[in-house]
Amino acid sequence: MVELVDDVYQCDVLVIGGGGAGARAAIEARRHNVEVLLVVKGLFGRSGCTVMAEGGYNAAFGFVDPEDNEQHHFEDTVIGGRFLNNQKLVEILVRDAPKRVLELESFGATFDRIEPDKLDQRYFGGQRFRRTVHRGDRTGHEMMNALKEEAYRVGVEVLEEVAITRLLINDGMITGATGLDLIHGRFLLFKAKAVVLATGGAGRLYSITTNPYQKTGDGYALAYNAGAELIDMEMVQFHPTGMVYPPSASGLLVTEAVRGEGGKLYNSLGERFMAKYDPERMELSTRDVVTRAIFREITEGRGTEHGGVYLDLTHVPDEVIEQKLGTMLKQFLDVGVDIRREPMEVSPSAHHFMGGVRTSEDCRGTTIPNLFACGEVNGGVHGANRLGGNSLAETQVFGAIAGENAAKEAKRHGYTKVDYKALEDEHERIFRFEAGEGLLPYEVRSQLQRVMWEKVGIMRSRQSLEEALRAIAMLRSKLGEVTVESGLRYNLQLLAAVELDNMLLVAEMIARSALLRTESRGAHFRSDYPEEDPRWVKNIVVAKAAEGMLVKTVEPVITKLPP
Amino acid sequence: MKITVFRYNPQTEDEPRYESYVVEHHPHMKIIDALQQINERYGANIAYRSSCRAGQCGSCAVLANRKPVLACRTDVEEGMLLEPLRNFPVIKDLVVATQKSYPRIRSLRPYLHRGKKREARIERLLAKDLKRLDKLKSCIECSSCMSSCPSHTHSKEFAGPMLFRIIARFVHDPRDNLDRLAIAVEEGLYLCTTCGTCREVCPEEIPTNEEIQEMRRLVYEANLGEE
Repeated sequence: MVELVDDVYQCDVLVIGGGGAGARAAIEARRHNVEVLLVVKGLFGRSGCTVMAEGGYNAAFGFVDPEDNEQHHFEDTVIGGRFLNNQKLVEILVRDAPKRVLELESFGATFDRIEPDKLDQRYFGGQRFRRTVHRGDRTGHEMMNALKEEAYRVGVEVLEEVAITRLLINDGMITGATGLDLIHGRFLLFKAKAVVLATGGAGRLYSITTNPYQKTGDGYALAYNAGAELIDMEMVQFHPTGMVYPPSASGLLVTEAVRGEGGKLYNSLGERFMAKYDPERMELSTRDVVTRAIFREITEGRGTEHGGVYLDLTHVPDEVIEQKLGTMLKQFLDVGVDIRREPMEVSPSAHHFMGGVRTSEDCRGTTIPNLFACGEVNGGVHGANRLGGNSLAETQVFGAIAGENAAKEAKRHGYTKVDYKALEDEHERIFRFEAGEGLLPYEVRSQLQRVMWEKVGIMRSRQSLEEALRAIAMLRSKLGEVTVESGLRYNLQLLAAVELDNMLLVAEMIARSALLRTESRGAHFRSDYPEEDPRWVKNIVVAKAAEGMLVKTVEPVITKLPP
Repeated sequence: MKITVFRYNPQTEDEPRYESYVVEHHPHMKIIDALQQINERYGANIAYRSSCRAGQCGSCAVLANRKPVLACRTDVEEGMLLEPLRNFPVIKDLVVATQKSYPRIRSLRPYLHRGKKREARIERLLAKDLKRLDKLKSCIECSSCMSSCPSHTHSKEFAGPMLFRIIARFVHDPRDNLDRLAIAVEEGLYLCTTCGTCREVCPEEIPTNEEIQEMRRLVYEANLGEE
């Protein structure tokens, strides 16, 4: 082993990912008195999506609308998710979300208040009550700071800028993982008794996305290759409003809070077009509805010159924009648009993966007893469409559960022996990119991103999905021609090649699942099957089989609210 | 458009060098767009950090024409010179070991100190106290101030503006009851020249220089100060 790796790290619980879910899991595991190592591909708390999250966190406190309660939150979430949600997980989400807010404040966060001991709550799409707690429009930043402070307090060990490349398996159990240490240029072996995946989503599969550069779906690929099941992978949420101009800002999130604070959508004819699509909820309809409405306006020729629609806040008082939407104000001023005086141009942008690792209520993978998943890499909570504000809540609620159960699991057994052959194979896989003259990973990556946007994006059909699968297979063969500069230290070419391998795998999962679902539901829209089909209240599960990718349907977990 | 980039891999090279690259420019093109374009077109493999693209994560600070900026928010300009932040060891090209600050940050005990935890219900916090914390908590830890502070550059006895921002964040949190001012004195409170460079380079415009003066005033009032 020694000759293959530059160093070996050993811990009870290995947490992979340093966003909101990973940090919360690490804190919880540490509280249960085990050795925790958190490994993150970028900087801790700064390379995930949590720090970027703007609008807020759903918790049915009922401070602003006293009628709100857990039951309403449950119903909104399941109805929004078009009944594909694992309702046991939703029950946990709505039950624990308020507790975790109190806890975040005890870690050091502060949320906006209407009174000294009552939090402010705002409307978010698809919710009947004002439920979303927030800190201006930098809620995720506030949470992440508090989580980092608490991680310091409880003594979580953190290793930054290490990309985990494989989970090592022996006899059905995870024995550890391999990683690429960008700072020191080392190939590392991690030995762990339990692993928590908290790597977030895969927005980078699409050419237009709100996500940071790191979100390449590594966790889905790690889990799949280890033998885990993944659920609802066809369910990719496109946020209705991303920036369209200039190109450098393409896809950047324009928070739903803009619409929550009264932002109105207009097409180039000056029509407030949401009246056609959802006259009751208008701009605050669910994300899937608003996304397709905007997409349709643009494709039918009623878009702006840069290919978007207008989102207008100019009727909202300057003070409100400055106080509640300061981040947006700055983000647009950077590109020469003053949103107090002129409308924004927006279009949909790949935002969130509802699907992910299939787990039970204790966040344990269904097929691997010492693998846990939480946050966006986990599947089942949001069903076919996620409500804004539910994913920050998810990171905390399920981060805590995954951390606790991983710690308990780690206490139950010792280290399992690392399979030398698996380590050798992984070493070879990583270092084979170094050979000779070939393609840069970036060329293949941009082709994949375009294929996904055009054929596995907001509108899908049998034809587009079959074309996509052929293109993905072709791009996979091109991966064999990819070569990179030698050396491991901050070698972005090598990192991109390793990520690309993951991206191709996740792309295939999405396309295969989307091809099987011959209906439209939530975020998944098939132009050849434009209606929701009651027979399709089923989840799609993918897993690795000897003959390739296995795709099957399973019955959803329904506890309280049948369709 | 032509820009020049600092190149150095301390693992394999004795000396840094400067390389110039031609960039195809478009309006409002940011520095990270230029770096990405160079890497994709020429296979230059320049090492740089970036995550969110929106000025929220603080990963991408570099020196542009000797001034620290966020590469995702700053327009690239003709003849621009890109270099790594100062006061940190270079890992490769534009990436520096900002991790160097962590042990000292940890030594500040950068978390709330209070009797027992209060999690049973929402704690009473006044609007004015929350407002006081607003600016202080907007730090994205990009380390721009650490790179450009003259006092910190001169002597590491002065912990640097980013760390004093952390101390101030707890000084003004009504929930914290540790003697933060004593820590501030320990970390070089009186070594700040109050020149205001930290505020000038801060993408969030946090007036750390003023916060330091405020802490000195509080120390004076508490009669903790040096003679």
